[in-house]
Parts: sequence; structure tokens; C-alpha cells
Amino acid sequence: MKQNTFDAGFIAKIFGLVLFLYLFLGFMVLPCLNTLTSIFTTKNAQGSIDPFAVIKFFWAGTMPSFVWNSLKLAVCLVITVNVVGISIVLLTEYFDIKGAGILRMGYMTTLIYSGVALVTGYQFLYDTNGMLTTWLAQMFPYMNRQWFSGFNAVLFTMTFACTSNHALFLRNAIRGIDYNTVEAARNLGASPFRVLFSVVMPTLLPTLFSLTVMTFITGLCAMSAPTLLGYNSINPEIVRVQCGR
Amino acid sequence: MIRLNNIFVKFGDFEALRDINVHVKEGQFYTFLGPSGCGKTTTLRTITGFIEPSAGSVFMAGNDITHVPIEKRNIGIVFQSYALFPTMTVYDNIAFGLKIKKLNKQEIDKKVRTIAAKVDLSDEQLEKAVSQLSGGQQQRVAIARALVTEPAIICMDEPLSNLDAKLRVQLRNELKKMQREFGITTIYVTHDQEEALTLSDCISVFNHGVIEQTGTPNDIYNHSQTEFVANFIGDINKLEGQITSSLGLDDKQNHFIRLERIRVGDNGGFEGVIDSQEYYGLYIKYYINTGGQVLKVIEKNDGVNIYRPGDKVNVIINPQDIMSYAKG
Repeated sequence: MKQNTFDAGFIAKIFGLVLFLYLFLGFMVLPCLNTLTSIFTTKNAQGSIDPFAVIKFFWAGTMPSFVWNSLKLAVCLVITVNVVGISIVLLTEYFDIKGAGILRMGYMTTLIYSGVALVTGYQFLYDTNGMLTTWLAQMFPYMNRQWFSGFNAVLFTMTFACTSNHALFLRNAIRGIDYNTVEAARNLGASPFRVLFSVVMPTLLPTLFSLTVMTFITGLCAMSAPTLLGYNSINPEIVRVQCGR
Repeated sequence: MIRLNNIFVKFGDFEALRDINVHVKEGQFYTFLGPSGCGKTTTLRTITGFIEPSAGSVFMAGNDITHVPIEKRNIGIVFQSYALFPTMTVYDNIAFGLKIKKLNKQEIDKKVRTIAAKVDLSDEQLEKAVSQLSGGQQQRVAIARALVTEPAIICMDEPLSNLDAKLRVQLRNELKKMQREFGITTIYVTHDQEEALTLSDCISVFNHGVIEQTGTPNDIYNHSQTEFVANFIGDINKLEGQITSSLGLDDKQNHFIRLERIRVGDNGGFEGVIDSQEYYGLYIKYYINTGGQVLKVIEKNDGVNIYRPGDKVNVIINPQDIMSYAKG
């Protein structure tokens, strides 16, 4: 009986180890190696393998402008998402304004859509034939019906798409703060804003840093919003180049 | 120093405090004692300004401070969780209130180091992050932070409850010493009756949002005014059956006696048999079956007269030591 228990435990350990190795190699090591290999074995225009072909690709023709557009979007997105996300969380959690629940729910609904569905939703309202644009065009017949496109439209759409994730993590971080520290600071004479900047925000910095990195990468790799709203960033361009081969 | 006049606090339909009247004198160590949810912390938060009462007034040094904002009350607070700012060093934690008051750097430094020395924090510890300190050291930082701004009174909300038993006793003594040294009026909240009895000059015992009794530790312990206070403070025997009738006690009342007030001897009183004993070193607790009921008795451990389970003894009760309360 004891022997059987040992065997079962041993088999479970072996199974666990094999599963771990499969996940580690299959999902982490091999994809990374494959990407690195592809980068350094890409053929150049002359058809020979060139370790710097990928780097040259980003500097060829109009590509730098796409790279720049992506960087611009990523940096601006970091600013807008942080401003909106922090404001939303502070209003709903820290200052606990009236209607906080509705505001929170409104922002969180974006979590259930895919990127394409969200952008399509915005287009339904603001696109050339969108409800709001049509209504505005009736009032101002000479307005540009394609006003909701390009960088501003992408930034607007992505800001609200990313804010829900941002607020979700930040909300948990702010709820983790010992509220007695806020009360202690108030008791020591600090104004609510002094408490916010001296006590609350420093505690949130590690979370904010992670969210900033996450938002930056999201902006850099944006796909659906630039594609649907007509903004020349690098990711849609890579797909276009790849499909055009 | 602090006076609460007919304080009522309501949270929606729930009445958290009902007609609370407290008078804390200058330099006094005043304790709010009671079980969880009895209203002691709510009373403290009403004094500090975190809760505004539904009715009644809070007076400090003769001035009505009921509607004065928290930061203008000049009351120091030590929280149960210590509430130290985790991103600041020990020094910055203590200096926080002084920086808010816009004192110059030299003055802040002098005050921080002076108070740190008084609460036994070294210069080396002042430079550490608060997370690097032990529970006892964090508590000292919390006290130093509360005292450095020289508040008129200091409020402590169960400051020892996060510590282990041994450290709690050690810090309890230090706390009392510190309070005497600073001479500061202290309001202390605890559910630990031993802590309340050892530290306080005056105690208010809370139950279900009302004060059951206010008095010195001796009043509260030996002259408990209500059955709740008698039961909540220390261990007690409820006298029943044959004992009450033999002593001629009123059967419309409940009768109680403290464990140490019962004597165990060889003659007189009621006959009983030792059921079991608990050995505490300094004293021994006996469970004595007197036929009708089991009485708990504490006897000083003299190392000679130690009874064993099964020993026949006599239980002597002095009627003057019995505390009686109306039934219902």
C-alpha cells in the first residue's frame, strides 16, 4: 500500500515536471529563440542572409515615419491613459464622489469588448456616417465628416479602451492602502491634496510604473484602432508588408 | 480637558452611540474598555474628528470642537495598525507633522531626534524604512510621530493588539512610563481588561453603544455596577442553587463573587470536592464541586497547601464579597 502511494506521488511529480518543461520550452524559450533566429537570418533585397536586415527594414523608405507614429502614439497614450485612469480611480475610490458606481461600471464595460468591437462601436457614433457625425452634419453642413480619423481618433479610442485595464489594477492598488495612513496624515495637519501627493501617490508608484510600461507596449503594438481609423503606425504596416509578399 | 456631552452617533438606522458622557481630566490616562462593536472606537473617532456626532457636543479645554476639522484639533493619534507611511523613512514619518507646520529644517531635526531618543529609537533606526523595524519599534515610531507635534491629548486605538503577549506586557509598562514622563492626557481604547486595569487612572466600560460604568480600576473591578461589567472584567462565579439559599440571598437577583474572594480551608463554609486544578505558578486555580455547582477559586501558591483532584475541602464565602444585580 505504501509502495503504491509512493508510485502515485512519483508519477505525479514526473507528470508535473514534463508539463512544466513543455510550458516553459513551448511557450517561452522556443518562441523567443525562433524570433531571434528569424531576425538574424532574414534575407535582404539581394536575397542573402543579413543579420541587420530587420534594422535596415525599419529605416527603409517611409518606415521611419511609421516607427515615429507608433512611438508618438505610445508616449501620448501613456500620458492620456495615466491622466484619465488616475482621475477615474481617485474620483471613484479616493474622493468617493456621488455616482462613482455608475462611472466605474461605465469604464469597466470596455473590458468585455475586443479591440475591433470597441473601435467599431466608436465608429458607429463618430465615423463619416456615424450617428453623432450625421446629426452634427445636419446642423453644420460644411463640417468635415471625416473628423474622426487619424492620430486624434486613435488616441481618443485607445485612451478609453486602455483606461479600463489601467483603472482595474490601480483601483486594487488604492484599495490596498491602509486608510489609517490617510487619516494619520490628515490628523497631522495635511490637506487632502497633500495627503494625496505625499502619502497615497508614492504608495501607488510601483503599480503606476507597471501600468505605464503596459500602456506603452499597447500603444506601440496597436493594431485594430490604427487600421480601422486610418493611422499609419508600424504594426498594421508590418502586416501589410507581410501580406503583400 | 475633554468633555463629551450627550453624544449620539447614528450610521443609517444603526445607533452606534447613545447618550455618551465622558469627562477626561488633564494628565489622566483614560481608557475606553469593551468588547468588539461596543462603540469605544466610535467614541474615540468622535473625539478625534473622524466622525461627526448626530447629536451632542465635544469640548476640549472648554472650547466646543464638535465641528472643528481633524487637523485643527491638536490631538495626536496612535492607530492599531500604527498607520506609518510605508514609502518614508522612520525620520520622515516622525517629521511629517512638523513639515506640515512649516518648521525650519534645524528645528525639525532637533525635535525629531529629541522625541526619538525619548521613545528609545536610535539615530541608525531613524534612517531605516519602517518595514525594516519590528512591531514594537514601529509602535514607538507611531507614538513619536503622534507626540512630536506636541498635541494637547493623545488618543490610542488598541496600539498593543498587534504584538505578541510578552512584548505587549513589556510595552504596556513602557507606555505608562512614557505617559507619566510626558504628562500628556491620554485616551486609550482596548478590549483587553488586564491592559485597562494596569494602565488606567479612569475607565469607561462600553456595551452596545452605551457606557455601563465609569470609575477607577478598583471601582470597576470590586464595585461593578452592572452584571455586564462584573462579567466582562476578570473572571467571576455566578452563585446558584444551594449556595444562594444557604446564604439567604435574594432570589430576584443574580449573585456573583470574584474567584480570589472565595477561601479554601478545612473548616466552615460549604463542603466541596476538588474537581480539577490549573497550575499557573504564582497561583493555582481550583474547580470545586460543591454539590450544586462548580466554583472557580484562585489560591496563592505557597508550595505547601496544594490540593489534588478528589481532595475534600471547605469553601468559605463572605457575604460582603458578593455582588448582586437585579435579574432580567
